[in-house]
Amino acid sequence: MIRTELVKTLRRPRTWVTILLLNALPTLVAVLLALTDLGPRPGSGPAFLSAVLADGTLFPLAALAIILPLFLPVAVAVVAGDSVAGEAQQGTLRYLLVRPVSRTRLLVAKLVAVIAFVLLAVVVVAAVAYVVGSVLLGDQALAASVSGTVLTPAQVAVRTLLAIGYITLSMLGVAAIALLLSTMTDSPLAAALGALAFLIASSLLLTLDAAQTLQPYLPTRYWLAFVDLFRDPIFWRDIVRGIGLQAVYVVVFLGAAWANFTTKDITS
Amino acid sequence: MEHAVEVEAVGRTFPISGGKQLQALEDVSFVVGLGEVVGLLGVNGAGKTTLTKILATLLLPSSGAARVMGYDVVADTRGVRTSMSVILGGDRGLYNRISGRENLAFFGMLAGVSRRDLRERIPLMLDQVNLADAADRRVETYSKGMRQRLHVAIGLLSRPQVLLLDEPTVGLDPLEADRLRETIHQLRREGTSILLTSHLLLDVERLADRVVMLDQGRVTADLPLRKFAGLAGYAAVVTLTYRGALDLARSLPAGAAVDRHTHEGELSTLVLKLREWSGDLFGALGRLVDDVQIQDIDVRPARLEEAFATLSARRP
Ligand SMILES: Nc1ncnc2c1ncn2[C@@H]1O[C@H](COP(=O)(O)OP(=O)(O)O)[C@@H](O)[C@H]1O
Ligand SMILES: [Mg+2]
Repeated sequence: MIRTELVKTLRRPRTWVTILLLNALPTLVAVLLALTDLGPRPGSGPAFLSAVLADGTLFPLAALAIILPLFLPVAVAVVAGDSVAGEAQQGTLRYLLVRPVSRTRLLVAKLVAVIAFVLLAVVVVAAVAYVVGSVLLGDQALAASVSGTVLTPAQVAVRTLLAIGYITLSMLGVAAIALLLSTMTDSPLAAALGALAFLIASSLLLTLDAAQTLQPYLPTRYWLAFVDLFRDPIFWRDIVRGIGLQAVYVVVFLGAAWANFTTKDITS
Repeated sequence: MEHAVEVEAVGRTFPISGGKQLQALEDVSFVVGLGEVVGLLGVNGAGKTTLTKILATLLLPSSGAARVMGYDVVADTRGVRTSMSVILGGDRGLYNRISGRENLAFFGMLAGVSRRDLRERIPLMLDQVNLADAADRRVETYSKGMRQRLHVAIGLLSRPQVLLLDEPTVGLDPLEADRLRETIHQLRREGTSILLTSHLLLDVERLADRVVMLDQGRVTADLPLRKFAGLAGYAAVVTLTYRGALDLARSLPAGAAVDRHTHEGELSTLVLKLREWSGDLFGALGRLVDDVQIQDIDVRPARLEEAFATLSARRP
């Protein structure tokens, strides 16, 4: 079941088109940077954009920072929102559920496929950005950390992997919300938009002082904490909080999705 | 276990607007014997699909209990799903971007059919439903009938002991519908127990051993096919085209009633309804028409339509 869901995801043209689109903006940014050599002023614009001018091998991080606030969560919400509702809309859900495969297993398979998609997207974006960054922006032996000290290539590589892991994890909260909505409606679009509305509300509240008491619990609160992996030494506080918060979202929303899906009438 | 399907006092309500409940099924009880084909007949909205879905473990009953091959549809879903296949009618529910063969392989695998059996059975199934030539085309290029036949192939691939069919011929052209009926007929010969739902009498008439009639969520009749047809009030209809003069007032045999008698130039047409299917009655009919020149005779058993009309008319 899990294997076939993975194969289904990988065989879908949509998966690859989405990943291609996710690569478009960072690549454009790299081209512009290479042509103009003018980065944003330090402190403004996505993290790393200023640093990558000095070293293209940091560009994967810049690319992830570019897609993280909007494009990646949109892609995740679309894929996760489609996972159950898409089957309902096609009419295949009922034919899956009359087979001797438990609903729990089906939901797990769907979740694994979504996680695989996120991981694939993040890794491909990072890899493409590495190539693009090295070619267009050049690579120096020594990269500067956000704190200004020097990181060895090995350090950069390890921290990039950690960042990929953290970003993937950050997306699981979105995925869990979209998956819950996906079990509640027969419209994949409604599920994706519902999850996005949730994230947009979260981002807005983060900028609102009156919402300060809520802020530590908002799902997007610690997303950009992966930048802290590139401080020297690594600043773990927000990263750990981010992981904890995502875990709570995943448990609560997946739990609700499971409770809803396993007892649901299949009327479509 | 002597029954393939047992339905005991099943009720099902749906919440509708205004906090009210719609009673889609009420105290429904009947059985399908092993190897038996039961036609579940009823107008649209009678509750046929709801019942089929309860038996297929897609909906829970609000009250009562049901078993498929002895497995409870609530407590033992795995057993039910292993022994039963359901074909829910319509042409949705297939993966459009992959081929018919791949759909078969995917759903077959979900049903727990081993790789070896899949390799062996898929070509056979494709042949049986006449899709061998189109097997490697994407399903999105299939006609409605082809999709429906693919559903049948998918349903049969796991060799289910019980088959639930919900309006299998709906939306098919007459030729496609007939092909589908032929496939079902073959299964019946192989001993599969079948619950066939339809609002089309023709399906039931051709395929069922017994008829359960559902009306507004309740069972209003549960009879062998022959008896059900008898509810029409007559067993056969005779249509006679002849030249000459008939004295009906004097020689019409008891047990026959004139339905229609028309004249067109030299030719007359007489439609008679016979209360029973008996040699005596046919003999008497023969004597009746001795004096005239027969152009054409057509004798047909009463149709379910007619029984259906009688039953529906009796509704309070
Ligand atoms: N999910 C649902 N929600 C509310 N009412 C429903 C639902 N499904 C079916 N019904 C109602 O239950 C009754 C029986 O429907 P159904 O089983 O589809 O009948 P049939 O298949 O005989 O046409 C109808 O009145 C229908 O409107
Ligand atoms: Mg129906």
